[in-house]
Amino acid sequence: MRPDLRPPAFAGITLILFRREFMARLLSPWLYTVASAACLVAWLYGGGFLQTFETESVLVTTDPLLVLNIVIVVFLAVILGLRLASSIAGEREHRTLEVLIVGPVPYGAIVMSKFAAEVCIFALLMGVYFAYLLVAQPLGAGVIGMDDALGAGRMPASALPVLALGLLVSAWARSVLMAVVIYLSVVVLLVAVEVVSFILNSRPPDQLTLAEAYIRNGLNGLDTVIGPISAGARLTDLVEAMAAQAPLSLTAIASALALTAATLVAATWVARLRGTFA
Amino acid sequence: MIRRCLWGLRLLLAPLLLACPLPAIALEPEQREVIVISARVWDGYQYQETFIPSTRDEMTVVAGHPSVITFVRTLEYYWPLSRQVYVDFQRQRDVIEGTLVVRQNGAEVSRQALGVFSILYPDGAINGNGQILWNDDARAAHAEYREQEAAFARDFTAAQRAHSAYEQELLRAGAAREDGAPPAAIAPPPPLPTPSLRLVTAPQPGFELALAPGDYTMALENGGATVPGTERRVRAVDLLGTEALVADVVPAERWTRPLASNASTARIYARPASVFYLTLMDANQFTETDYLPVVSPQADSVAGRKLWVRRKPSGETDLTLAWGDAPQPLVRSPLKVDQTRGTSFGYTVRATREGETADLDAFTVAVPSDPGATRGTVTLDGDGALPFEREIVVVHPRQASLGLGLALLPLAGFLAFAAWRHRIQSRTAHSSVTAD
Repeated sequence: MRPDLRPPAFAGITLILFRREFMARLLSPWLYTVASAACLVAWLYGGGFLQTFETESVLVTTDPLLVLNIVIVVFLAVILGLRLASSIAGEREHRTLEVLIVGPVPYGAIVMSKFAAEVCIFALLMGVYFAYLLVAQPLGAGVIGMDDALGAGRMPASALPVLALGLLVSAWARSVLMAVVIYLSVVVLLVAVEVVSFILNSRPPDQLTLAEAYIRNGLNGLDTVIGPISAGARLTDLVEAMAAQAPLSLTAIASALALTAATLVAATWVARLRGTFA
Repeated sequence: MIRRCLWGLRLLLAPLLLACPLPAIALEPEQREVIVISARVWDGYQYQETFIPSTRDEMTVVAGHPSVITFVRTLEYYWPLSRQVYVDFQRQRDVIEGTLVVRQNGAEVSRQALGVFSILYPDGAINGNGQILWNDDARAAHAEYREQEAAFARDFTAAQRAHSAYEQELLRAGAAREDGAPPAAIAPPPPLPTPSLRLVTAPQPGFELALAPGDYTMALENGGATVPGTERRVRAVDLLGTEALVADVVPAERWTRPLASNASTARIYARPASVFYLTLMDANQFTETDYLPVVSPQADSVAGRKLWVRRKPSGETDLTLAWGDAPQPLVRSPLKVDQTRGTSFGYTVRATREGETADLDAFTVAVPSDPGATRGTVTLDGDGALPFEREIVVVHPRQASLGLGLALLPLAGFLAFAAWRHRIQSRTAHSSVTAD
């Protein structure tokens, strides 16, 4: 075989697909709409923060951006996960997955390229958000310093499992509609479990009704089983860190990255199992 | 037919009605006789009284400082409203005698017989520095304390009598003066004796637990055999170096509700040209999982969460306040809060006048109105002082229109780019059609 006709290796194929995916996303109005939406959320939040000083003269807090950062990270995670949920299912629905596979392109390369492109978009959006905080100063002139703006630097790791979950759903679904419905249902369910569990656990036991106490014990039991593999639990790590007024621990970051890697492996396996046909 | 139906209905309803529970008339929990640990635990500053129910098989104590425990046979019950276990020491409190044996990894660490202890608080129970006294020392100190208290009561009564006699003498002298008698020189009575805060608790039976950090097991032995129900695990936690200086920020408009600023990361955000007051407190900083099991064995603690326990107002009197590169001294001063007159709410805070009792002993911080001043720091300088630094951020108004415009910039930029690209493509297509 002539050297110039030799097919590229796995990394080469992944890079080619990644460039295609990334450029397609860059030219999509989605990216810019989401970027503007994130900045608008920050602007509205800043308005609320400043409104506080109409009635109060002093406020004590470790980081006024903490809640906003969590909202932005969760918002971007869910939106970008939704886009990933429609990615492989979309290829399958439009029969382009079949073309890729006979290329031949390994399933692993497809999964990795789509995920890497979305992670880069995520990083880009976070960059836009940081830049907006520094330039627009939505909390008041001079309130946000460089350290404050970069305070959310560790947070995106907690969002990666949600993105990978989108890809896992997409690897299994036969159509975009099915993928979107399943993804949203799973995310809503996971978030609901985490929110209810967090609320019940944060209340003193003597203020719980018997039914609430049973639900709390049930959810805590469930958490020991599904907690380590739940993308929702990784987002809860952010909220727990906020409640403890402490930065996200390295253990939480490591567990989020491990869950992401495991989900990507599972997505590759499921995509191969499911095949190319819708 | 109808009679048969009614009979059938009765047969159906009878078991249902029997199955219905009778309404509870009162909630009296079931009590059971168990062995619990009654404890006087050292919490890093003072002794606190607590108990470890029979349902908990682990006790946590502060390492390096003695705590005192007693095994007590009592009535224990679960109270569903607070979801906690309580004991009824009033109805039954039988101290179990024996020898306390503490082991670590199977090896015996200590063995002691039941003793008698008192706690000596030299400066009062709320000012810390409690010391445990044992056996004869405890009895002697308590007897001495009782004598001192009795002597004080006698002196106080005598002084009160002298004051009453003095007041009677004044009244008599006044009446005599009205009748034209010459002024009488009446000697004032001696001042009332100052009560002592020193306290020695009554001697009680107990075992001393003074352990190095680590995990242990303990049990009570009697006649060479372990007393059933007294086996417990003991965790001794190291709480050294937990001292901290924390601040309370008192807003000018809400002086009764201070805002806690416990860590140096807890920044103070203030409106320009506002005034707030800063008070410093000596505190201890713990992690919940170390501290809560010591003082509240039944409380749920959150791993990793920090906890600050305020002890007493700090004696620090000088701080440094810097806006930019211009440090200035900040002196603690007594302040008086005056309610505004009339029926409206409101008050003013001012320096106390001579003879007035201060409502607030605080550092007054005036926030500049200059838009150039955005950040300041309050620091404590001095050798040996606990580290203290708080950042103050002045919240100036924002440029709302600019913020909104920048937020919409990504979308607007994309739309402009898309329109430009569309225009170029249309022009190219038009050129090719014309060329054809």
